[in-house]
Amino acid sequence: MSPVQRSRPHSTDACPEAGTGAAFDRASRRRLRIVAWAFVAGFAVIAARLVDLALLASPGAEAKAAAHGTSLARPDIVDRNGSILATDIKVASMYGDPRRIVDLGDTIDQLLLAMPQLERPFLLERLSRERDFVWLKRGVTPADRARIHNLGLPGIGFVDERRRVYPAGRALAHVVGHVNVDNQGQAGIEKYLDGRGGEGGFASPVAAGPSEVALAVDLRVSHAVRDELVKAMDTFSAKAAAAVVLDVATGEVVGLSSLPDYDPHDPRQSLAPDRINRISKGVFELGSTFKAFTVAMALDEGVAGLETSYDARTPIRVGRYSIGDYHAKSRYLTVSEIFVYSSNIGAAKMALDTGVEAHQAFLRRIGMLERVRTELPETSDPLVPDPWRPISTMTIAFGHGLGVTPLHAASAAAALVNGGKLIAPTFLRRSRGEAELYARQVLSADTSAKMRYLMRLNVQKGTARKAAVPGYRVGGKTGTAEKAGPHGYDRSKLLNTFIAAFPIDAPRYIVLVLLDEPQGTRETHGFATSGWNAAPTVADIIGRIAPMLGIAPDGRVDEFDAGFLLAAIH
Amino acid sequence: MIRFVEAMMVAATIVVAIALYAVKYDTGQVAAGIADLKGQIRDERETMTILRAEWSLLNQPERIQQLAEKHLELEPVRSSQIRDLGDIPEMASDEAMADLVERSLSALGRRADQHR
Repeated sequence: MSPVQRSRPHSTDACPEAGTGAAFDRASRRRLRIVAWAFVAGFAVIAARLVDLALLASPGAEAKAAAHGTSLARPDIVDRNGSILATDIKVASMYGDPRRIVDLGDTIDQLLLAMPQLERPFLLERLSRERDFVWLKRGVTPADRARIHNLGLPGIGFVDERRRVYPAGRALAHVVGHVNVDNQGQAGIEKYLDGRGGEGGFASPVAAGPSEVALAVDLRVSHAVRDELVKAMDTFSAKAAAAVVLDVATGEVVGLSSLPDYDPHDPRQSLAPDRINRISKGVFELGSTFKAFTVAMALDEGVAGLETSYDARTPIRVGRYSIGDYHAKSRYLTVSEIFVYSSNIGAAKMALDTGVEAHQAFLRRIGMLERVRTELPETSDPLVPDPWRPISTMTIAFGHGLGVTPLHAASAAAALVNGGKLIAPTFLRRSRGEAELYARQVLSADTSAKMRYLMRLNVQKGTARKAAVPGYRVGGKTGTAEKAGPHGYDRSKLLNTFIAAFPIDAPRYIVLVLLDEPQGTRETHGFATSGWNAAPTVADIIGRIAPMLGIAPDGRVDEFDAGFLLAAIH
Repeated sequence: MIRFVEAMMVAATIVVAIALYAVKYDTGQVAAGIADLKGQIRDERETMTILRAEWSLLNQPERIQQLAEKHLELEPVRSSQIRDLGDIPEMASDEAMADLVERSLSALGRRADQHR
């Protein structure tokens, strides 16, 4: 019996507020039950949530926890084999809070004792500013940081920053580019990555992009190319040198070097106009290498065949200009001979035969009249003659009057030998399948076969003999251009190029070498034309990079004779 | 009877309360441990990054070339030195070897006779 029941009066009329006996009992029990069930429900919910969190842990919660960690900065840049070309490391940067500094003179004294490379006037100026944050030195060694930290100076502190380092050094400086002190891309692929709308600089949030960017370039090949260019520049006393290696099936740039270059850790050097990337940004009249394109055009348009004859007995006179041949043969020349003996007269006549309009259309088709579209921001528009007169057609036929970048020439040369497909050059990895999407058929496969024959013939019998490398079946075209000066073309200042394709029976790579103002040497008997300097440089490069690119030497001579290639066409 | 049940309920509540605080405390310890480990992992990752960068620097082709030129007596490979496996001639059979030896000996003997 509950105590309530005993004290309750029997009669309900005497105390109505207290309620009746049994009804009150039931009512209060009901209320108690409701409250009890409410508590039970509450605890049940808590228990259920506990089980949920403990056993069926949702990934959302973990991701949220992880995101509060360190923010990603820039992705690593690696070459096609995984060698690191650019990466971030954490460095400490020292800052000052002038408002918190107690004794300015003493603080500066102690800082200078710990880090003598700092300068008093600089520290005095910085720490006297009316700011609460001033940079004192960005990029402090761990030893210095520990020393200064232990001094316990109020108002001096450290912030961890990310610093970009380039383990490859100068080897691919022009391709990889560099960043500024805030880790923002300034040139090359570094700048391209920023522009792609992806990873940013120091203060960027968690990056959604990849942690690694694989380039098409091969560090070993690029180093070999650079090393040979350094030697050539020295041997021939050239003002500048540049080279590019292109995969003809994919358009990938496998190697690139332009001298003089710079140290990406000291990007101020890159501002010197002499240190531009000559391959993609330098605009030149390429001279005789252009004859390869003229011949290809005439063959493709059906204007001439390999055995078609042209009168090259006397120079062409146009007004006060005269177009003549170097080492003139002074006779009729076939198209093959025009290519192999590099005849200006023959090339000019072939272009005229094709016609001004068709010539222009062809140049546009192989990409010579517009900027090369590739990932590097450092590209140039070609210098196109305006107005375009018949004399322009004649001179452009042998590479004067139109200024293009070596990348234009290498890309078009790839189209000459790969079956006629023009593929935009790329610095990122691209498979053959992907390349098909970018490819444009600009020549027939038959024309391409004829060009391969001519380039092989040139190395066996023509001006390109010094480009031969036993076993690697090299084909190519020389180019010796006089540089334009204030008083016309200067015969003493040459711009030499050589375009090679190997292995010529089934070309895999184009190698283009450019030498700016090379000089004759004793070994070259004083001659400074392309066949004496650019061609042997190409041979040295190919001999070095062919094994790296997986091309096996084939010692058989007859199978790769030009005549054999010619027979294959007919 | 009811008093007993009530007493048990109160006891149960106290036990649960103690268990709750114990779990909370343990969780706090574990969380601190995790945070500590995560910090260590971060530091290790950073060290790994620096080491990878240093490894790449030491493997720079320029540096390796200079070291090779300074310490090794090797020369660049020539294309004539690279051969296909099929180019290696077959090993001579035993009869062929014996024949060769005999012919060599007889040639030596003939020369020796000439000198007498």
